[in-house]
Amino acid sequence: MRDARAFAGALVVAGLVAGTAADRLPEVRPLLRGGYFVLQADLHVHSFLGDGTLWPWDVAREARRRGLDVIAITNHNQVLAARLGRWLAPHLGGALVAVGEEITAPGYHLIAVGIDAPIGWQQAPAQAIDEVHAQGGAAIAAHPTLVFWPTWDQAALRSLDGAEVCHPLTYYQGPEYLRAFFRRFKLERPHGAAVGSSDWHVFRSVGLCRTFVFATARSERALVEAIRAGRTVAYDVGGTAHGDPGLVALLGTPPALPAEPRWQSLLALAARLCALVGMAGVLFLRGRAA
Amino acid sequence: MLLQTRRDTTRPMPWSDAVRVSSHPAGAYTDLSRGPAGGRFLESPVLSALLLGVVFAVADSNRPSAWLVAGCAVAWSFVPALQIASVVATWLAFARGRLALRGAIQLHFLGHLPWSLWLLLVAAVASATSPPNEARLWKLMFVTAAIPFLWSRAIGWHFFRRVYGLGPRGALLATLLHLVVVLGPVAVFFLATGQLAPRLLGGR
Repeated sequence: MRDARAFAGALVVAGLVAGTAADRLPEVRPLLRGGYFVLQADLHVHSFLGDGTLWPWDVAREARRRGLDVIAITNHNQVLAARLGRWLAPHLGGALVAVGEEITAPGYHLIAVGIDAPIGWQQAPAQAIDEVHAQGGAAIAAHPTLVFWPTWDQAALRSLDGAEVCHPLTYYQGPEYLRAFFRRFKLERPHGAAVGSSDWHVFRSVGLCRTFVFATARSERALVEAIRAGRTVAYDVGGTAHGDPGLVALLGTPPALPAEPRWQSLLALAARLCALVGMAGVLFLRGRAA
Repeated sequence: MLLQTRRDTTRPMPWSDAVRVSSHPAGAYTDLSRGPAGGRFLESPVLSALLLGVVFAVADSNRPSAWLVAGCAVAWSFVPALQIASVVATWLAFARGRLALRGAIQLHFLGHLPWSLWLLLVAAVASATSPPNEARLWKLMFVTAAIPFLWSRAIGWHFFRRVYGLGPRGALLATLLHLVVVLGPVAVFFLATGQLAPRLLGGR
């Protein structure tokens, strides 16, 4: 090879061309059950400008690829990226973006969905939840593992709208802690919403845990209204369904993830091989001698 | 990293100067700092941003579309920008009269190969890991990140010794200044936006 580095560069370009050709989003088919739109939602997603690795509109596209209808961008103690995402994502074919925040305090993490302004973290959870409600949003306990339990007192649990019962950490910790918290939550709020969220930052787990939201419309307002009314179903990592038994029955077998055509998967494989090998070549190899 | 800053037609090795610097940093930097700077200005920082774009597009989407790679490259371009800022700061403090800033930037970027290699490997493993198994990937990342960190610090040490001509104390100060300039703005951003303080206070 006369100029191996140039060849490596050409491989990168070929990878980008193939990757672009393989970048087709699946068709959106609204799921209707009992007069509701069943929105597949991931209500705990991070993005760039926070500690997520993609721009919010790109996360929304990846969410669409995984069959989600809506995501809430919930960066830690800020809403700027979420607002940008809500504005841009619909123009780029992504899932609907709801503005959210992961209120990250030393003793608790709380997801706020459907808000517009950031909510301070230097307050008790019950007060933070009141602020979420004052903005018309819904409040969800984020990954309430044992370390956070002492902060979730009775007053806080009574004001909560939902709790995460499926989260990626349960894939290695098991489902018990979140199930136990959810039982405790349901004692205080019998109609509280069951939520499955991926807490996505990086890699391909957006939508790994998801919430089926029975909404009256495909909108952020309808999403929040349904969460606050407890019209959700979530499956935990053990396969147990949580939520109103009537809604679980109405949902039936959860829809399968969208499958890519084989040509698209193969093209994506070729694209990443070309791009990664090409980049390695650009790094490792000398260019043509002068 | 990434580019060959000197063109040596007598050398049969097919490997880039970044490989030479990574494998024998002291000798390679001594050799490379003697000649004039080659390569296009800012080629290495731009390629760094492209690398980050490809890595995150593959890791997060499994397909490096031009749109996603460009978006990730723009988003993560603060990384090479901070690296340039660190070279400017250390050059102003320690090597202003010794070599041109352009040469310092090019030679500095040659030392990024360990992180670039690690990122490419993480992206390759991530693309073959199913989402339910990502916890293993996180563990692998945390365990192996020490390797590029220590390796690149060793290269940086030789950069300050051989290219800037500093003694051990000066090289240590330059290393500290480099880390402050690279990590400081990121920490300040996360502190100013309230994303860091609660975690520091709560330990979670």
